[in-house]
Amino acid sequence: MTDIGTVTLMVTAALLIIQFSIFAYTIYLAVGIRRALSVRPYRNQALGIGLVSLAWNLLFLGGFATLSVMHDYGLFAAVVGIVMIMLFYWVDSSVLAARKSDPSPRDILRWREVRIVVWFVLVAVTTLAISVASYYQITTGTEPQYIANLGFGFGVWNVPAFIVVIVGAVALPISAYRTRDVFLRRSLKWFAAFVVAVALVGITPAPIETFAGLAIAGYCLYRSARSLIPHGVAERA
Amino acid sequence: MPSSGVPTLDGILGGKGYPERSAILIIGPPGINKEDFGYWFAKSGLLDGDSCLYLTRLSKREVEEDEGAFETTTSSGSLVWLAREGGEIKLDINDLSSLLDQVRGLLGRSGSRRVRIIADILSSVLMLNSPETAYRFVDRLIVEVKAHDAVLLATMEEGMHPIQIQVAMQQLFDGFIELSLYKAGLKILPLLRVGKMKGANPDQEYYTFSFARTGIQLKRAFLGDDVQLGPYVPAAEVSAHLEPARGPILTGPDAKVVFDFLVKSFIADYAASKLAIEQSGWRTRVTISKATGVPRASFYGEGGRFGPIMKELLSSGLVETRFFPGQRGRGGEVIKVRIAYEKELVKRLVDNSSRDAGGGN
Repeated sequence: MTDIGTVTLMVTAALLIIQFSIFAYTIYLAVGIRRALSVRPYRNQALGIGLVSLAWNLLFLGGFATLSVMHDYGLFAAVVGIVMIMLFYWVDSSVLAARKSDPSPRDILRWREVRIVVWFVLVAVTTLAISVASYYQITTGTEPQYIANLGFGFGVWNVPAFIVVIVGAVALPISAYRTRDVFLRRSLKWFAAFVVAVALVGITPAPIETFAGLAIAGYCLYRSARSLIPHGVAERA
Repeated sequence: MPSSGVPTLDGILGGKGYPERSAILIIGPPGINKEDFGYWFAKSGLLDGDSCLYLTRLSKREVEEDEGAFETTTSSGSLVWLAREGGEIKLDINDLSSLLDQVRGLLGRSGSRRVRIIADILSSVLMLNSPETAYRFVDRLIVEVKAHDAVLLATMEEGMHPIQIQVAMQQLFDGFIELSLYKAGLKILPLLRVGKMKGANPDQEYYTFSFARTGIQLKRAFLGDDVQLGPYVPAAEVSAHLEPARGPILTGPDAKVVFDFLVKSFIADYAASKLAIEQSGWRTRVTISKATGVPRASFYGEGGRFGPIMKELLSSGLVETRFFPGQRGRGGEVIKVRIAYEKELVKRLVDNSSRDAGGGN
């Protein structure tokens, strides 16, 4: 049993290292692509992928630190809020980049106006969620379950996530459909694969499967960033 | 000759700029800023007293807001906008005959002044119309350009059109400049190469470029295992560098043998086996080694890197590589090599080889 436990621990640790390495390289690659490009929406989109990778690590480490170690739901709400803002930055930049490569540049869902409203609502709701979670953390710190059930019964910190997921789920498929940019489409497809991998990770309780799933999710995100580099001149791996 | 507005690029083009009465294509992936070459071309023209027509699928405001690159030209009276919104003339990409009439009318009213036409509509025209209609439109537009004292600079998005259309456009225009991203190890660089230019003999070298408020800066890029960049090149230096006739591109005899084999493989796949262009000519390094007798060590370097012959071929820009996933090879994918057929120089070499092969029969 001890041997099996040790092996499990080693495999889990190896997968954890692999996962963080992939995400770290994705951040590096995304920043590199951003530097190589010159047009703002595309630069922002590359940066957005790097931010998603950073956000995922932040959620993973920050969630563990705030919930399992510090038991502070106010800080956890702050981590989730920051992560969702980073995620929405990517959604926003992707929709704007898709419009740029639409042959007859259509404003998807009047995005140029809607995005301002969504940004405002997201920041306001995130601030509110952090405030509410912090307030109850201070006043009823011994009852985390109570705090967890604030906000539609799913935890008040989930409200910003709902906004980002709903807006992204509506705007991104339309953007992917309208753009003729194969690089952007490919990037969005890999990002969808990343989302699926993350969703599958969410339903598995075993650590090895979780970290293996996260490593796969990291690879999908890396491919999403890499898809933004066109196969032009002799490309080197 | 009308200056490109980028002195270093003028140097690469022989020191004077784009040819008179010509149509130039700037082709590159989205986001690499092809439009900036149009901005500098227009700026240069307005300073020289030329008339400029700006044909854009965007609104005039969007172009003006684009990094502020156009701010110095908006006050000039000799700039006419054909834009989706906000221009002097509304541009309707779905009505190509009217668009052509409008351009013809404006060219006719220009009198003795040279006209510079900057157009970012080519990809949209190709996507929203049948290839035949789009091709006919571009062809007639180029005829109008040549009938007047005009130069057309059009941008085209790479990766949004089938390779056949891209090649057809490159052939239709008098010159084309390729912009691309190059990934070497951990570096990603934007590269520029003049693929073809009427009346000039472009050097087929790669340059990395960057944008600044003062203009576009170019540096020579020596592609290999590690990309080496030269200093920023002043225009005069480039011109001096280009004046003498260039020597052979491939210096090693083995590299020539390998390149000849790749040319024959491409012709065999495309002409004899009737494969599509994008599928033709791909060979693994092992296959090439066996067929040519060139040792495998020349293809494979240490630590998964390329060997000396591969380096020479890649740095010359004559071949390209691609990963083929799901095939036997390290990590379930294999790298294959073929000639970089879309490059004008390679195309000429293939044509010569085909002719030689035909003559031999």
